[in-house]
Amino acid sequence: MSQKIILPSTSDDGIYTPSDGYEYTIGPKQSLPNEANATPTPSRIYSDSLMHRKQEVSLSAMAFLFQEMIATIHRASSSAQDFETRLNGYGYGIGTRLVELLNLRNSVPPNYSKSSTSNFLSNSSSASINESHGSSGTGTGTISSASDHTHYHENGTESLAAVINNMRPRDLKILDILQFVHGTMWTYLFGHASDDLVKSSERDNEYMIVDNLPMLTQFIPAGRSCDYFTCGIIQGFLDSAEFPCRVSAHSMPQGELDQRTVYLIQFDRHVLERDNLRFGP
Amino acid sequence: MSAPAQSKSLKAIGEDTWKNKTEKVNAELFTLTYGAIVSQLCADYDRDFQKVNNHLFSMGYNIGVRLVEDFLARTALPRCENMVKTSEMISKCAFKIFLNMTPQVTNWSSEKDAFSLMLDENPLSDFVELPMDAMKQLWYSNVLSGVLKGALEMVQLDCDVWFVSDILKGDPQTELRIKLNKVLKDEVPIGED
Repeated sequence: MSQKIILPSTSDDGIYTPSDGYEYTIGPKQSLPNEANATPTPSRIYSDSLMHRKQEVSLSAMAFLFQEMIATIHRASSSAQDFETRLNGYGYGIGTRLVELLNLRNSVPPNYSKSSTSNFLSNSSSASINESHGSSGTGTGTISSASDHTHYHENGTESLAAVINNMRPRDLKILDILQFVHGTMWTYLFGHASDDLVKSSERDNEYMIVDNLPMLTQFIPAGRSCDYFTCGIIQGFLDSAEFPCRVSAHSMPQGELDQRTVYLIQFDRHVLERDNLRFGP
Repeated sequence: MSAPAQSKSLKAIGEDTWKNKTEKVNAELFTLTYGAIVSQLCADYDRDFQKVNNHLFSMGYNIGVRLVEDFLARTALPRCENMVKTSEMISKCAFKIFLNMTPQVTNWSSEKDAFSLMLDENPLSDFVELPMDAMKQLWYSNVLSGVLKGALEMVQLDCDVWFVSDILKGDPQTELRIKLNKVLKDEVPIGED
């Protein structure tokens, strides 16, 4: 494969020679190589707004698609671990995209929207972390209700950058970034904050995010293998926010909640060392 | 009941079901998940986009044969007497209930056995741009053709479903074509006579 990562400057005519692949150094182009001399059409996605338009599809559609994705991966996998790794990979790419996107949207002033005020991305601050007793990961978190979703008015052309006065800094503390995952990211993905965020009392690099009824896997009984998609999203998010970690899913039924799932996040050691250096132990 | 009144009521049924009887999720999660699937398939098949198209179609087919049950359970709608009714049902009810969109039905064949759905909005392909090599061959939303094929087959309509054009390929609009081959006969399952 001809991977020319470093190309001469874009003013060089040479780069417009026909190629049969995506040129990463040039970026997306709308025209085919043999049409390169035609007037280039501006890319559609760059004129699309990143503003959150509250669009929804049915849970059924999502569940059907998810199930077929699982089936495809399952056929290709040689072992349970292989399956989980592959599924993790599907989610990982999604997680990496959410770091910037959610941070941008979170920077929109809360009183911006004309039609209705939104607290979609600002309700994570009141969530609390509890020390758990033992590794079972129990603990009662008090979580602000994520009842109000965004209601940004329908306006496809609105620029997100234009309404942001102060860019929200990316979280640097372990606890802050975890609150972001537990509150903001969870609300974005699943419509509610996760049910708990717990620190392990046994190992200081381990944290747990608890979901009483995982949205995507609620129709899939037994085993938590299929939750590795969500693990991948969490891991992709934290990795690209420079909090490298491993994430695994575990079944932790509690009373009526037989689908209750714990996402165990194990940070690399140096993440803790950095946290200690920066913010003290 | 006259034809316009019927179609109006289908529209109302679709909207009511979407509004009151449907649990909903963030469309962007759906978009992102589908994107992850397609891009992984492209890698798995070594960018052989014909195979990717086929795989997406078969995924859709598997979804369709089960989705129709979900659809009928939700709406309890009766059998359609002709393709015109079927097209309304697909556009105003099925697409509305599952994807919250209403594609426009158009381009009828003279025998009224084939029509097109114009997908103005398409939650599958939001934020999507195809790489240059994929633009020639990949039908990004091909899972939809499979879904329609599978679902229609389950209600005794043997149809061909394919994409005619796609905005992602630089076409002015996204057109999905549905052509009826024949109406399958109701057959009694083996062992039940």
